[in-house]
Amino acid sequence: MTTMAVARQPRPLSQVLAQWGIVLGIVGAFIGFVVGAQIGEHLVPADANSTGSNAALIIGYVGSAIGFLAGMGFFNYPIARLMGRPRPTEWDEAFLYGEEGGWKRYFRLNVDHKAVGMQYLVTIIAFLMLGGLGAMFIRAELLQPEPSFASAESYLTVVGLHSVIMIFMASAAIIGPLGNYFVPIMIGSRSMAFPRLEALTFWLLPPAALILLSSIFLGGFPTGWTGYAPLADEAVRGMDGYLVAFTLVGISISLSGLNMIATVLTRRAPGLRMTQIPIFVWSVFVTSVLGLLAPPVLLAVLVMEMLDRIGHATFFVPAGGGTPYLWENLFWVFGHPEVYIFILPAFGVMLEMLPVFARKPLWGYRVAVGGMVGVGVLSWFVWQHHLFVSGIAPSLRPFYMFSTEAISIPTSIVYLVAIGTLWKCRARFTVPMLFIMGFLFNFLIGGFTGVFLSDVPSDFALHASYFVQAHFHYTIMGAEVFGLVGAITFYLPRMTGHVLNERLGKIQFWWMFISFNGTFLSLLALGILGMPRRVVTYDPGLQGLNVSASLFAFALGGSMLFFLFILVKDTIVTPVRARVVNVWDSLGNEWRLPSPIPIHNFTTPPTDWALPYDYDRDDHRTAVPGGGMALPEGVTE
Amino acid sequence: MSATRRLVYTLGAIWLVLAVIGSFVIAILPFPPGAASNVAGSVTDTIRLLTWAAWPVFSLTIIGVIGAVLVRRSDPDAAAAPARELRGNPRLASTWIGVVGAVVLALAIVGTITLGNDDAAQALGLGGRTISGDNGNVIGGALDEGGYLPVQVIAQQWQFTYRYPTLGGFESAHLVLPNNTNVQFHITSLDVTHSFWLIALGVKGDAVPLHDNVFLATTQQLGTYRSVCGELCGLWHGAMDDNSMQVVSAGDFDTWVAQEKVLDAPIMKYLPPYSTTYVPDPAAYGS
Amino acid sequence: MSASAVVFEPDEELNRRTLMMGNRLFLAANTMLMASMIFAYLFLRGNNYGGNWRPDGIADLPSVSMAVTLLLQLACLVAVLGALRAVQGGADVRALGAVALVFGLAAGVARVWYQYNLGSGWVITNGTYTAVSEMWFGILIVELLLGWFWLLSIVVTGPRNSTKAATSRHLRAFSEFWFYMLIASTFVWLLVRLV
Repeated sequence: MTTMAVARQPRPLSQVLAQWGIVLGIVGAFIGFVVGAQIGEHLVPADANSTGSNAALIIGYVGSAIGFLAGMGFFNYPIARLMGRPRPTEWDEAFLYGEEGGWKRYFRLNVDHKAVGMQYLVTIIAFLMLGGLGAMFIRAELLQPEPSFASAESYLTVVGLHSVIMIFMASAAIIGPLGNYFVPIMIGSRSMAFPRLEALTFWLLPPAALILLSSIFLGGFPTGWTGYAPLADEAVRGMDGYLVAFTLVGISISLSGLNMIATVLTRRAPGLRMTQIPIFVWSVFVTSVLGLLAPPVLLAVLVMEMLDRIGHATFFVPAGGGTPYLWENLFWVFGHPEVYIFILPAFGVMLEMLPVFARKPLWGYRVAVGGMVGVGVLSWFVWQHHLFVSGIAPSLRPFYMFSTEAISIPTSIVYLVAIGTLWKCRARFTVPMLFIMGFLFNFLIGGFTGVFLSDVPSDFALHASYFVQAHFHYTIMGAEVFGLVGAITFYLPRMTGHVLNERLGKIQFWWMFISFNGTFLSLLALGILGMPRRVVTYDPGLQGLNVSASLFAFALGGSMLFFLFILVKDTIVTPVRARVVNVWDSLGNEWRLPSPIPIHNFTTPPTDWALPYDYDRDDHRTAVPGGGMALPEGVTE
Repeated sequence: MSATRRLVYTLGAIWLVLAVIGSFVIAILPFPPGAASNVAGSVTDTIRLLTWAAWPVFSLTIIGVIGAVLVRRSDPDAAAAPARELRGNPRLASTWIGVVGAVVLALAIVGTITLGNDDAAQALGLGGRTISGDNGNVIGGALDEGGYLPVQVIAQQWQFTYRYPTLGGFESAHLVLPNNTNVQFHITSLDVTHSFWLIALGVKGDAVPLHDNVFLATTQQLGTYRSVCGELCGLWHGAMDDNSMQVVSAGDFDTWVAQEKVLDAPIMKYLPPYSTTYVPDPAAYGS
Repeated sequence: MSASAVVFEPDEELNRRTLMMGNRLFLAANTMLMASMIFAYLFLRGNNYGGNWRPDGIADLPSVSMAVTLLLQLACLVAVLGALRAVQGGADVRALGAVALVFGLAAGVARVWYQYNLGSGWVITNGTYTAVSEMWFGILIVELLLGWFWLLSIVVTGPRNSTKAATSRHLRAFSEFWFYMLIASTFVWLLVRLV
């Protein structure tokens, strides 16, 4: 079907090896680990008292990541250039883009942004399910006020794993699958600015997850996802897995941010102005600025922690001149923009889907863009609200209280735009629309609970309690994950050609919405009543609410499994293909491409750009693209 | 009156009723943490105020979304809707931003005043002053005389202990405080970061090694209260809770102090002298 | 079917803009890393008022060797800019490119040597002053050496396997990166030496 079948001369070794993809990656990971561990052992051998050398483990993990990437073929191009080899052949290009089709192309280095989007989709869902298992464990343990079936060590490990895996998931939940898949299409580009880099951002995630999970066998890590030193300094070897895994994910977020910014700024089709790109692309763009700039701070602080653990430095140990406040400040300078990285793409995809089901233009597009930019800018100036009771100088607190409360202004703009779009609309309550409604309800609670936490006096009561848990679960799960599920339902016909069952989807939504609110309202109440976070024992008087939270949480877990069931059933077991790809009758340009989308999206760059939200014009389907593009030849609607 | 207008008025009326009922309920609900200390009272008032301000806005937004969906658009044959309904109304947007901004500013100002003003707020304002050590040596940080009872809270993995410097420097495993007394908590840690959270008294401050975090509170209510650790500090973080913290009358307190001194006497000679921070000898403590 | 080479000709102007933008975005992220180190340095310094900064027993950073290293970095930059001029004029990149490589490698080797010979008391277990400074120098070393490999790839691919446009845009981007590193290296040395 391609030039590959025609070639008769013997393949170069690099091409033979390239076909082994992930298998070679795994081999490389093992070799890299062994080499790295040897180097580490040699550099800083284990102390007499410790169970093993931290240096060996950390450098081993780093080596395994490098070895994995080498095996996947990420170094082939740089090495070829270093050896003065000619530019890649046509076969190489076709192979890199997975032009031969089939499932194997997802298990190797694939620079087609749509393939990367699919890879992210599966991986994000896997992380969500894995983290969810941890949550079920936690809630099962918390049915009793005293420790029951879990040991203190395993409980704390699962708390840490649940939170870190969910953080990894949330940081790429929407940008990964949907940003990578749709941003180039939405701006009329054949590819991302740096296609190979995009593949790299994905392939950093599986090694990160496995390195993190390997900490289970090394005693786990006791710090939760915030990794506070000096507890991290004294932790057992499982801590090293957390440090390296988080480093890899931070690099992935940063590179993804770089790629998205460069793509949106340099790859827009001729004639497409920034004021005409879909709102989803704007949300990805603003997120990417945060994504580019925040993780380097995390990198710095993680490396300091590695030096503390490997080299007995004292960055965070007061007796050696360090201070725990260094960790707290640097971590949260990263940590706060990080949570806006979670939510901004969710805002974007929600506002992108809303006009389709309201059958009405997006109200206040420019105001929405302004709101997102406002959130992005303000997110850098609020981090010390995590430190209100930590012992920072009291005079700093009013400023951070004000800046944190001020973030609700641009956030409220998103609600204004949503309400404005819904006003006098003719809503169709499809499954994605239900998730949009759920998003709006949940994030309202999430946002308001944030205001309680931003107020310093009330934070005195609520910091480090289950109120905080409820706040961030309402925003991350209640908004971002609800947005993700709705967006998957919405975009699946475009990405794979399958349609999910509408009736089952509505049942799944209500199941998820009710159990989600039951769980986290219970936790909200627990927080107000003074239950601290990350504890395995609690005041027996609070058992009722804990049981309520746990039972609703089990139901929530069931609803997520049900979603997975619907997904697998309608895509793999008994595939349901859409008769017409544009199931939702959307004006988005991404829906006007043929199915399957050609490898390079367009043969000629599209022209005649406008915002794809003109639902008020009844003749939108026949008018000159007020939201369309020149269709490829031979394709009808 | 058009259907739209009727709907808007109906929804507005519903919202008004909900807001008023909600306000009453919020005014009388017993919000935590309660009134066991001046700080707790102030915090409770703040939470009540925030809830009271949040409820109308929250319910208005929900009703707004529901209403927006219920107000259906006219027929395709009818005259086209005005652009400001369809694509954006800059004046409405500016008004919205202005109103939200004013509410936010008001909340921030109220919060700052609470932090800076009355007696309890004075306590809150001073809570969190740190005096950091220079390789373990304390610099400055004279103990307060005149009206305050200083109590040192020493956190370690996985137990809080309490020292009373002005009462002989004895150490106790349980916290007992006299009623109607200004207490100056000095919170520090021997190893990793903990957080001392005396829930009902609204006292919360991180315990950081070689740092002395001060928190002031005035006890107002007799009773037995619960303290927990608020910062993940290792395996038995959850076990650092204590349900036997007591606020007793002045007389009972003096009795208790005398008893504790007697109990404590044999080990006093092993305790280091009182200091706002400690650097434990790693070889001498194990965990 | 393989449409990659067919319709879309390589757009050198687009490639140039993309590379320059990518390089500058990378430098922006790098600036956040440097900013974190500046924060850490100043925070730790502020935390140690009262005589522990700099601690006793730690030698001052040597000036002459560090100045020589910075001059080698500068010489590399000058050679790169010369190579860029040459390539834009149609000449071969390899002449001046080799010179740049030599200076760059010398600078990298000098910095690595320097890292192990900073003076008495310079071990990371010896308090936070040495730890944060050495970590910062280490980050710069890693970036310089990795950047050097980029320069190597530019020079080695040369005129046989790369177009003039490609070589000159890579040299241009590299020179921006190397200039950034020169500023960063100078700043770090001055901060650690004087503050």
